[in-house]
Amino acid sequence: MNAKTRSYRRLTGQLATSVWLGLCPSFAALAQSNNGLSEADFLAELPVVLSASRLTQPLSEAPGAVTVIDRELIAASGAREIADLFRLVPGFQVSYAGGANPVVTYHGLSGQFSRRMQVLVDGRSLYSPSFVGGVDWNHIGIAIEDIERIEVVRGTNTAAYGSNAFLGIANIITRDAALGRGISVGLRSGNNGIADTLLRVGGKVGDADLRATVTRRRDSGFEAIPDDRRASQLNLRADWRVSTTDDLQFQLGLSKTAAGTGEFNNPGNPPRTEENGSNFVLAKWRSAMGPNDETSLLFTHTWDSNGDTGILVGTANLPFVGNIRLEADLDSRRRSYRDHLEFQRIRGIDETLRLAWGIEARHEAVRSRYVFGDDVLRSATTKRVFGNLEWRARHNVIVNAAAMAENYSLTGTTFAPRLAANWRLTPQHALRAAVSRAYRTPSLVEDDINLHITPSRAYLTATNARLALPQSILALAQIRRFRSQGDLHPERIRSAELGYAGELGVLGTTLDLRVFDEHTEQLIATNLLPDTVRNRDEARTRGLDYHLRVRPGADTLVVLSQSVVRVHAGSPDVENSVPAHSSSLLISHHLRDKVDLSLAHYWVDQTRWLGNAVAVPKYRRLDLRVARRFQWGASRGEVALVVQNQSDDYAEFTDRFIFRRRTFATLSLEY
Amino acid sequence: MQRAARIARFLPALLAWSCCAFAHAADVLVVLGGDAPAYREVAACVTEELAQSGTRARSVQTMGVRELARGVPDSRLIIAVGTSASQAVAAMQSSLPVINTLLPSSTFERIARSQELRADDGRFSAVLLDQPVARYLDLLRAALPGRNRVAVLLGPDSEADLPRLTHAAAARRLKLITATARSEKEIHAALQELLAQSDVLLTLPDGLVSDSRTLPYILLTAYHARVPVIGFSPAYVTAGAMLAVYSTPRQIGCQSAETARQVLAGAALPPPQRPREFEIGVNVHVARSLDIAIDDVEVLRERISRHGAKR
Repeated sequence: MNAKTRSYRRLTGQLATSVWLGLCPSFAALAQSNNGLSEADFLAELPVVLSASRLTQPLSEAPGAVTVIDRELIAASGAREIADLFRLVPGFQVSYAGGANPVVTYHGLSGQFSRRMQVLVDGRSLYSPSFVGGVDWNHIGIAIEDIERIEVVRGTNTAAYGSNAFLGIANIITRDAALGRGISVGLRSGNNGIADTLLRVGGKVGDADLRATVTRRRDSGFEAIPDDRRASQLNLRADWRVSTTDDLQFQLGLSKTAAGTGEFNNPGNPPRTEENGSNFVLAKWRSAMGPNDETSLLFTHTWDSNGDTGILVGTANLPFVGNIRLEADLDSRRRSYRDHLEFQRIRGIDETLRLAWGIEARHEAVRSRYVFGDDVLRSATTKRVFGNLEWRARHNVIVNAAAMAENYSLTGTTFAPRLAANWRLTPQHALRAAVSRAYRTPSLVEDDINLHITPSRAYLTATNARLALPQSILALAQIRRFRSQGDLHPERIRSAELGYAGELGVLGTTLDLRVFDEHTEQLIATNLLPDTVRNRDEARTRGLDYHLRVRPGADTLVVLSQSVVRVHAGSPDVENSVPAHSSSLLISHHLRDKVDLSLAHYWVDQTRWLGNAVAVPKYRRLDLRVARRFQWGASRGEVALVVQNQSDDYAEFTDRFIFRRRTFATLSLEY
Repeated sequence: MQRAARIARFLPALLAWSCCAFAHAADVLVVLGGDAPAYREVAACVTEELAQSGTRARSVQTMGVRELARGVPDSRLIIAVGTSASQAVAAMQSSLPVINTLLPSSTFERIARSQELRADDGRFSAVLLDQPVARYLDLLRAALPGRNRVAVLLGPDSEADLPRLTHAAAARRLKLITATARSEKEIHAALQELLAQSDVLLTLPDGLVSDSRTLPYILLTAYHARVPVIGFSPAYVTAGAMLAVYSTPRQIGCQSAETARQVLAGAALPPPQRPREFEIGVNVHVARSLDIAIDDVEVLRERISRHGAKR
């Protein structure tokens, strides 16, 4: 049979199915013309709701280790920050480089800006060109309350998600607009200046589900630094079901933060306010012809602005002149934007083969006199082609072969392949083996940073008289300096892992374990003296992490995560950036359907974040939450009390940022 | 037998003749409620079955609802296919026996009530689209043994099934958890509560609860709660239900034809019947994603038939 006949047969097969289902406009007319049921309710077509991209692979079949944080875990954790949820994922580190600057990384290798992990929200990358290629967690554009689930892939996943997914990827999936109708109000208040409000309105207009969420958040950060934060955000989402096969999703997000920065009693870094903003639009078309036949097109546009202004003051002693005060005008403003267009196709070829492939283009641009020393708009373009072939080689063996070819205008073309095999030994126990090679391309800032702050005025300390020193002399007293060496190469990783996913048969226990050996090379170091950004470090990271879930009954959940990591690197900075052990334990219990009790305990070994002179000592933290649900007339509500860090004070990021006990109460109502 | 074969050979000509005729006498008059292929499937099966019936072939005339207004041909029995055909035929207040087919039970009852027709007076009966509720539970037992907590979200149409459902669940030692929604808003509140207590969700045909507008909400919420859904149509399986049990228009048509043959042979019109033959739909992708192993459809069907036979 030639190809033409085959496709004809397939077509007639499809037609026959359509005929058999009785799809005909007359059914739609019938459904509308009658109140109550008709045969149309049994025979007409329905939209494919759970299409391939919405169905997650079970752990036993996934090509990598995946930890899922669902709404139940989010609520039980008592977390107020999305970043804090990653404390529950084995191998992840979460910290605060200032009260308003959450940092999340997998297996260390991070300073204030975590550059080696990809975070996607509904397919939109949070990679920010004006944030040194990291994630600005204050501006992810969604409320924690709107998250449906977070799927975290532990380990490199560049083959599927591009070079930003160098060490890991988090897929944040927000709730479909169909899932939140009516009006919700949330209030949160506590010590440390915590005062948050939320208003959400959800409804239906024609065939479209709409949701609008507005949040305002305030807190006072750490005591040691002036890092008060006021953040406000608006997110709009519309899900429009155009036909039984097609739907459209639109999102708009506007967010703004005013956060304190600088230090008390340090004229060289005085208290000032950083004004940051990030806005985005997202449009996604999805066409699902069947559960295993889906096409989608995604477009996102993001524009960010960051920065603060102020006067930095330094002192110097000049021979014959005496002590002088130097003043520099700081203007750290950065503007950036990014466009992203992605086409993806998922299709079951036959019973045993499934192909997912796509093409993607990104364009990003950033302008900042502060970072680059001039006002030139720097831009870069990324083009990608990716594919994953899933082959059910036997009833209990699945092979996933994936690859991505990426062309980045600054560094050229890279090719990142991955091969994974899952072997289901018994219905309950499965093993996994995977090897991959991947790259991370340098960000625009890493590639061309030329940051230096030079004084523009000088005064005699004794008399406050202004000195008429030429600019060339003043420039010698640079206060801060960073410069890219240029000609940077992509960072490289070779990774091999073995995994286990299974049910242990007692108390509803499931275990997901990953043993890994990751070899990273040409890591771009930004914390060097003299302050040069260049490819320098390498690291061999070996260890294991696991995620254990125990559900002894419908009302109780226990989640234990643990990670043991050993790093060998030429640089002690790199070695010390990864805690040797970290663990988290979450226990949640529902009492009589109305009261929820939960506790989360975290243990993290000593860590020295990149760029810091001192290490953060090993710490323990205990969070507690008690909530009571109630019915009030037609509305449902919940009051909750959360205590973060019930145990002793500990330090975040550096030894000066002390995390004291935080207690807050929340009230939420849904009409 | 030879005669039947001869007639079968001339069936296409016979069909064409019967279709363009206006007021010819035929044993059975089939009134189609629409042009969709499903209605024609029913008519085709009725025509074939009656033409091929072993003892005596019967003539069949097919017409649409609109043609009915021009005059009702002579016949001994009417088969009304679909809701609008049933409505039109019921409005005629004919003295002939009527078999309504390819329509849901709640709709059939509504039409009967509105015309003050009684299903037990031997003139107005049905071969319905809805499966016997026990069959859903048999499918659950056959496909998902161990999942004993069954949630059912009822609505205005499906509420009437509750007594049957309670009885069938008790007989199968299943724990039934139900809630009734009267508005779309109530669906949202009720579903969360149901899913928290159950390990499978059964959706029954209902104008409010199983409407295509509420479907995304129900399927997504259940999937996120990792609770598999059992539906009542093949489209439900394509949409994201893990399992469904349903009857095809052809199966409904053949059952209608068999009933017609008995009536033509002198038997009394039986009370409304639910489908005897059925299909099972499995969404392997959803099952895989929920990490649930499902046996082959034929194995399931055999198990359900065995359960049914036992009872």
